[in-house]
Amino acid sequence: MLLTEESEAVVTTCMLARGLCEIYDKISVDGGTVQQDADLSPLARRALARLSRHCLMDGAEDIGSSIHLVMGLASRPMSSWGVSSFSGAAFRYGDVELVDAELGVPTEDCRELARIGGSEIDASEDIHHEQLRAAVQSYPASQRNAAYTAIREFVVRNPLVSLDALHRFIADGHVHAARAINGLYRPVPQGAISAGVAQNCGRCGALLWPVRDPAFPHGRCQVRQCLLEGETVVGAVVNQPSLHRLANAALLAFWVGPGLDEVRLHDRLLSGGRASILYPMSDAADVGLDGLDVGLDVKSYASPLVLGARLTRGIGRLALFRRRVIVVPDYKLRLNPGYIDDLRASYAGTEPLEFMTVTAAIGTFVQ
Amino acid sequence: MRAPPPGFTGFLGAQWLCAAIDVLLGESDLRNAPALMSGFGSVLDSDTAERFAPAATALRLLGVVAASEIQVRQLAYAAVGWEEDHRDEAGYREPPYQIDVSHPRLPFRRRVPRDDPDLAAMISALTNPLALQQWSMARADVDRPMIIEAGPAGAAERISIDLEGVDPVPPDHFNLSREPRGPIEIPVSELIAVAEELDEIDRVHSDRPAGNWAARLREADGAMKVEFLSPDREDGKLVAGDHIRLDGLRHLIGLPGTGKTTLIILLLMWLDARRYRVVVLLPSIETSLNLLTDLRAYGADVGLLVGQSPQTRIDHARKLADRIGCDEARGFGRTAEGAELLALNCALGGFEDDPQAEREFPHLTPPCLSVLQRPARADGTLGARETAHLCPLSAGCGRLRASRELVGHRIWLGHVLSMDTRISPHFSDDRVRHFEAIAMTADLVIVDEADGAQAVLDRKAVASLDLTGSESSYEHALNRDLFVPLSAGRTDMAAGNIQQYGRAASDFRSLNHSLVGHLQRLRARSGMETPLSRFEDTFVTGNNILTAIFSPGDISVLVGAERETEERRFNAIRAFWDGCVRAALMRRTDEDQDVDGYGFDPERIAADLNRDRDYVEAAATSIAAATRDWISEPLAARRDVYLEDIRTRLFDLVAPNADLGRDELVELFRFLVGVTTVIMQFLALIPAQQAMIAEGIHREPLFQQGISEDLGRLVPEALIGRLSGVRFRYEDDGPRARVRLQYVSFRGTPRALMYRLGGLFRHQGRERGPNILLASATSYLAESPTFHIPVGPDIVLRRPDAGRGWAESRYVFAPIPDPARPGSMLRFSGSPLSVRDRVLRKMVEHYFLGDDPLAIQMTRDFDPGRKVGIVVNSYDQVAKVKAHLKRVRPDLAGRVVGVTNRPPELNEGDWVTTAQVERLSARDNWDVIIFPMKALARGVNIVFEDGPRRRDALLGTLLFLARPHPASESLDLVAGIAGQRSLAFDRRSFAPDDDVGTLANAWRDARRELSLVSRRLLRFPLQASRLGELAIPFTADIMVDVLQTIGRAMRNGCAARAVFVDAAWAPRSAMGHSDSFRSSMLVAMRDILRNRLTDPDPVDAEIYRALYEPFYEPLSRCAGLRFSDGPDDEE
Repeated sequence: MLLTEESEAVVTTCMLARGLCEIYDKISVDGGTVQQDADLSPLARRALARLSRHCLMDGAEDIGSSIHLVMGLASRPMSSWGVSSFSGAAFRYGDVELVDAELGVPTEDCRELARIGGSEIDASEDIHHEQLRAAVQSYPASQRNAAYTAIREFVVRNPLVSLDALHRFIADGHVHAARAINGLYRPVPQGAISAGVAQNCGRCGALLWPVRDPAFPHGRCQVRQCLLEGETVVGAVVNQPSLHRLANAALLAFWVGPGLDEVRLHDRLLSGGRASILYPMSDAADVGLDGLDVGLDVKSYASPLVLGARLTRGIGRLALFRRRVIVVPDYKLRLNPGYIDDLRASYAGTEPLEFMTVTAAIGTFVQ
Repeated sequence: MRAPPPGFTGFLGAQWLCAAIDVLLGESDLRNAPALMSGFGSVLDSDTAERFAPAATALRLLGVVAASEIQVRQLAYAAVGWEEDHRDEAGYREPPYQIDVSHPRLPFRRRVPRDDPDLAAMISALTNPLALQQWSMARADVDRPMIIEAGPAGAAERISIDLEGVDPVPPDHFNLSREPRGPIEIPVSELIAVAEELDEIDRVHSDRPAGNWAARLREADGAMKVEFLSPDREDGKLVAGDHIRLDGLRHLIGLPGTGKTTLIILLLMWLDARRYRVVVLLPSIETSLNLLTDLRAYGADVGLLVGQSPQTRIDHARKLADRIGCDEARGFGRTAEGAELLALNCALGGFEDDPQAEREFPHLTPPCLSVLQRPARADGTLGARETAHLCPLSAGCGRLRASRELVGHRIWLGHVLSMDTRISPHFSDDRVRHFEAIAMTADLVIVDEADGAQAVLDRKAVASLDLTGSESSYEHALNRDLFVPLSAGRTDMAAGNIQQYGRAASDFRSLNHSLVGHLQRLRARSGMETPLSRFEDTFVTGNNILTAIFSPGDISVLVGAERETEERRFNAIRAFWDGCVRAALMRRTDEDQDVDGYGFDPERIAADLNRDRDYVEAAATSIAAATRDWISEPLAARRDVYLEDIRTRLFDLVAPNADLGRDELVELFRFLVGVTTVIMQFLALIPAQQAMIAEGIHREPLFQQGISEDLGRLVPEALIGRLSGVRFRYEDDGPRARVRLQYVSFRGTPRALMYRLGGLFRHQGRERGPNILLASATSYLAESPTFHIPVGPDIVLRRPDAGRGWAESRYVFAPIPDPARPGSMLRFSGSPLSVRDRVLRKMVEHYFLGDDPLAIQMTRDFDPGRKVGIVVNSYDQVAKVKAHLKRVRPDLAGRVVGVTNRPPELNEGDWVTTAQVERLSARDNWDVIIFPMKALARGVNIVFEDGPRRRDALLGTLLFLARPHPASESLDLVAGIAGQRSLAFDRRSFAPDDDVGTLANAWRDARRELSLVSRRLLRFPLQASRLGELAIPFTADIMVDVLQTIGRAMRNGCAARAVFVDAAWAPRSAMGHSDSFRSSMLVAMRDILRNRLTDPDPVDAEIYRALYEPFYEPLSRCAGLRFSDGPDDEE
């Protein structure tokens, strides 16, 4: 399993909450009714399917098969739904009621859970992050930050890894976190295998997935940032997929994708003689220079306005650095030449920030 | 579905038929085969056909189609062709019969001795029950990788599934070996005891409303409130009994207010306690769910029989959601009993190996039967190619719960059409449908509202759809659902399969336009009479047109070898033409080098057309190529060039009828290309509908095929035969005629299922089937072809003290003066389309303008407190009335509720769907409801929910703004008449000494009589004024719907007021003259009822009086209507 059962239940809960909020917003806007047909959003449907999975694994009636069944139960605490995944001591939201049946609206709790779990991938990423931090706690205090950096960098540089290489990495000082590290990976999915072999992506190191489009005979990468970088680069053939592991989908989306530029920036700074470190202080920034002198955060938001608004709400632990730089991938300018200007204009926070592309950052910090 | 016996192949069906006719009937030709093979009970149960009947049943079950002369001839040709094709093969064994296809009677000669072992084996296979065919699908192995595919074939996405850690158990299977227990005898006293038990249960559960069951049956002093009467035909009266006997086919009439539903519930509880297996067929799944809730509350072992096709499930799920969402919460935080039985989400989707936000799992078309896995071989190795497997989660998933739980439940509730659903291979190893399982194992089948069920089954014999030329056409739906949203910015509708559908749809559109354009031009050029006039309003298929082009005027004058040659030639032309067009349409960009994919044998075509093979192949590929160009070319002039090219190539290959002139041939050929391509493209689009519903493009299926193949083989063929093709008609609308194009197909007599279910397999070794109880309140009206049930009646429920509450009912003919045309009244039905909207608006203004509008006054001046219903003919008219109200009376519009099938966005509660109508009784923010007549059908009741008038009808007054009239292209009447005549033939008896020839002649006569009627009905638009003597069945059918509608306002014995507003109800009375049954539907209704109430049979007269007096009496004194008894007295 990718996550522990408790964590899976949390992800399901967050998605269900989000699905319920979406349904409510939709019927409030268009005046329709709660429907099971094509009107039901894919996210809600996926949350229901995950709920079905818990029911079947727990030997309970499948209440995920219909949104109406969930609606009937959701005004009661989740622990009373008759599904043990949601009633055990390890499940932290057992007392949550998702729906106010009197008013026919989502509860405050539901709204909050929906904010936590934007999507299945978001929710899973948060949980991986949390698990990794927890695992790192077992290291001596002085080694924790370094261990975090090492593990995350390993995943970013090796989204697809042979079992041998993975075991070697664990044996090399990370036995404390062996379980957490193994949990970051999964077997190569069947859908990625064609004629018994898989195909490595020559750019990000993940996989090229088989597609029907004859323009891509070797398949296409699923990592969005990698796709946007440019043409598909065909890597090596993976002859024995069963002896390899692939990073979980959430990590491909939130670590490996953005990591392409983070690693490139870090490597160029290092080779330029700068004291660069990846993910300093357990991810206070993506790249740190000279201790707390410069913090660089690579952001690949599609919209500069959304990124500006996000930064205006807060810059998190980037504030720890004396000079804070928001770095955007070069291709952003290719797609939108005004990206940096728009971003600068939309940022209204009080903390001073600099905005530049990866290439500009390399130019700025490597003399 | 039955497993074919050893040695059986479809090509040799004629050989097996000859064997049965020879050995079991002693006949030596196939002339009478159609009558014998049409599946009619009268023939199969006759003494003459006693030995042949099992073989006829077996042959039909095996798919041997020989129900018309043409079909028998084709069957014979197939067998003869098979011999020619295989003669030279090693090990070839000559089939036992030589059939002479050159003779019109198709005589055959036995080549082997009578005791030949192979022949004996054939006869034995046909006269012993056939085995059911087995499913060959395995369940997917959870320990091995599995894939499901989402999206269109050829471009599907592969989703991998990981069931590691799951340990599913196989689900229970149906037991088809159970045998029905025979007649059932129920003492009325025991029903009273059941009622008392239910009251006792209610006392324990004081939180829910009490049913007061015993009090519904008897008075406090013990006197019965309901009489159980049965006819004593000898003494000519109905006599009361103290028990109910259910033995074979029984017809129960429950007069309004006698508590038919109460009786059904008590019966079911009684039967359940004695472990009988019972199936109850109800007017809808919603009524089934209501009854299920009641029965469950009393502990009955009850399950839901519901259709399982994706679109059926979506349809039911929507209705359920509408019911749940009928209050201001719109379903948020709400659920309903039975929601667990109509679930749509697939649990397997929760086990996706690698979920992707942008890729959707196909929850609405789930992979219950199509989980892909490499099959395990016997030696433990895996097969090379993935094959479809059963989903391993079927024992636990919610989506299959209803069908899974049926396995164990004793009582099944469902809709009559739900029976024609295949039992999923998850729950049966045999390939069998629910109606077959019911016929084999149930003890009793109750059909509630049996006349409605009969009409529903009749409509399944006909499948029709306007292709273009009307607002209900397929083309219009494609524009509305697909092209308009896409062009208006719904670019989320860009999934691969939608695009594929869109391209096919747009081809369909242009082919349609091409055909319609041709018909229009022809009319403009030639006037009313064109070379295609003979095809107007008839069934047109490629075959008819090919016959017109290539066949001699009258093939029946040919005999012997000449006839055989001509028939072979025609069959070859047909196969050749279909193959070429199909190749062109289905493989649009290929350039064929050979005819491998054309679906015909070039050698055989060459022989039958007297050409060489190369010539045939070259002609075929060039015709297909030119057809592709013709389809793709935008320029009309170039298209004509291609068309000419196709024509030249075809006529070079085979000469057309020499009697036809060139111009006529050109038009016929153009018509042939148009019709063939439109039909083929339409049939290619239909299978994609289901996926488009799942994608949310279409809300409901636009075209539904008729009955299943399995059912078609078990009920008689329709006397009308099997037909399918297009119908076109010019409709005059202003200076230019419009062309309307319709696709129609006819098959079978599905209504016979209700009558034959009790002995469906009597010729397949199961003598006894379930007892059948047909129950209704309007199922006895001999004039109505659609609704009359020609059995019994055997049980009549009546309240001895039934009040004459209905005596207070008032019917009024109240046409409204037309403000634009002084001296005349507003007439809706029968007016030109352009006038109708104005008429409807004026009617609305009449009832809603003013300080105290008439419609609101009507909630006070007749039985105060009851509401007003406005009856129109269509949802479209409801929308028009509502829209006009909003303009002229915005203050009142919110209190007028419209019934719709598509609630508008921003619905503020003044729109409801039929599923929500019953809940209106809980609301007090409305005064008037507008609905199309059939929308508030059987089983839908708006009644006072509580208070002193609990269970009384909430509607008091009904305003009929339009005289009901089916659409002019409606086929309901012809379906009803075809069903009625076919059933009559099915149920007639032949004398013991009637020979095969007599049986066959009777069949031919019945067919001829029906075809005279049906041809007339198909040829002309359905207009009362043109129907002649058919006006009586036409009126009687409509009357049943009108009475059912008025019946909504008579629940619990209430009086009703019916106001007939449309001047078309009685046009002469509207002008101050008298109306006769010819001029006025109201007078015709009265006459039909009056005839029946004075029926010479005293028992029938008593039944008719009990049934229809509450309607006849107020109708006969209808205010404002001037009756005359003679035909058109004043003329």
